Amino acid sequence: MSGPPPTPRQIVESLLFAADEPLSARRLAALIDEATPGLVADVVRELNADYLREARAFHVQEVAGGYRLVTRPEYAGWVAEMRASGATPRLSQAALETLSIVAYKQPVTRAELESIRGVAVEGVLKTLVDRGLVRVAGREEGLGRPLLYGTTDHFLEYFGLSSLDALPRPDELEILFADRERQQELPLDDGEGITGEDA
Amino acid sequence: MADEAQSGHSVRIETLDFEGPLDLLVYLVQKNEVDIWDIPIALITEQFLAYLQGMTRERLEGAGEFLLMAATLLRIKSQLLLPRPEVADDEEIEDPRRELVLRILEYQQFREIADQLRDREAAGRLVFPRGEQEWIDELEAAVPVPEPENRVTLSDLLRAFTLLMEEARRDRVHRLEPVTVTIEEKTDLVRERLRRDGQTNFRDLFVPGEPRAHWIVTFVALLEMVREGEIRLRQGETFGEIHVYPTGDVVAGGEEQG
Repeated sequence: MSGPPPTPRQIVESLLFAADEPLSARRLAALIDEATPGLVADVVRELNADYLREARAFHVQEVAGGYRLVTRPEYAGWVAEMRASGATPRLSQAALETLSIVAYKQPVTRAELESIRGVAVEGVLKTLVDRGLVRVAGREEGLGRPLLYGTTDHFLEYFGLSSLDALPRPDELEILFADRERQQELPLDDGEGITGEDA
Repeated sequence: MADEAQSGHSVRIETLDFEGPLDLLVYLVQKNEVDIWDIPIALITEQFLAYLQGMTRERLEGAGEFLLMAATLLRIKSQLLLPRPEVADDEEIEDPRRELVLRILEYQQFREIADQLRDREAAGRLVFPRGEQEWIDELEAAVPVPEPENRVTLSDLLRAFTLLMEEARRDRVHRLEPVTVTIEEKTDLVRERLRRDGQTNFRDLFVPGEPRAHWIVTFVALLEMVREGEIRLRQGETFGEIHVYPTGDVVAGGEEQG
């Protein structure tokens, strides 16, 4: 048991190995004496460089505001077979659309979700809550005080997102949102639009 | 939506399945390759109605949403046909199509995000974190799978509650205290209990010795939670004990197709 004292890299590796949920840089730093979150981030980079060089079957992934060890995609076939019992079905189109709206509009009511999707979402919401991707985030003030929904940390983990800010944000998305604001501010140019193709 | 677009008026789109009326509208706008800011409402409305007519009977439960959209389209179409009102030069003229266009665009954005999430999901299914198995096990262990039970009707619930209140009435101590508890507090208590135990008995939610007013608030909280779809009530036998479950845990899967 003698030998050089453990390095921060070794300590971080042991903590990630034993953790059953993503560990934040801050949490890791608190567990190691005299370490800062910045040092932890450096150490994680070093670990990943080591893993890559040594062609290890796993690496550190940054997800849901923390780090976790994951297997590399090349080994998916074998690992999936081993874990077959726990395999969850893929999300349906309805579920993904609903989840997208929850992610961007949270906290959001069921009525808002239904108005954007144009269809009832009750069953889908239930599925998303059951799968731990969406949670009840409170109640809206006002008539009926409807439930408000938001995404969970498991949502970030499931989609490999480091935080909500890392959500896919296509360029046209912002343009369209901006466009919408502009459209609401400015009166439509007189003479356009209202002359229909229906004539 | 990969079907070959068919031009002309006799559209054959009824074989495709759409998530909802907006999904269908997006499809029609793209298929006809029209400018989203200048949608030919007459054409789109016609094709939309053609799809409605082709809808199979078993899809009728979702038809209401399509019918609502059809009504919106027809309203816009009629507004466009009306003569333009006399307006001063600086007055705003609202394009009757604008609101619909904004809805379509917003929906389309979320569909794009959904596509990206699907890609991420696919990528995520190829990597396996340590400990995820435990997460699933925990989830499953926390909620005992209940035996198949019967739905609880409102009259079952009222009967159970009335019984409770009658029992309480036999308790001779009358308390005249102001109601100091809110529905939210009681809702939280129910949630807390469900989180801890996975399920609970209806009866156990009413603490003996508590002012009756509190029981009423608890009862109202339960009714609201049922209405919001947060909890499910089930009964093993008629007049039997009523069990309270968090939603979904008593409902088998297959509800994703919303």
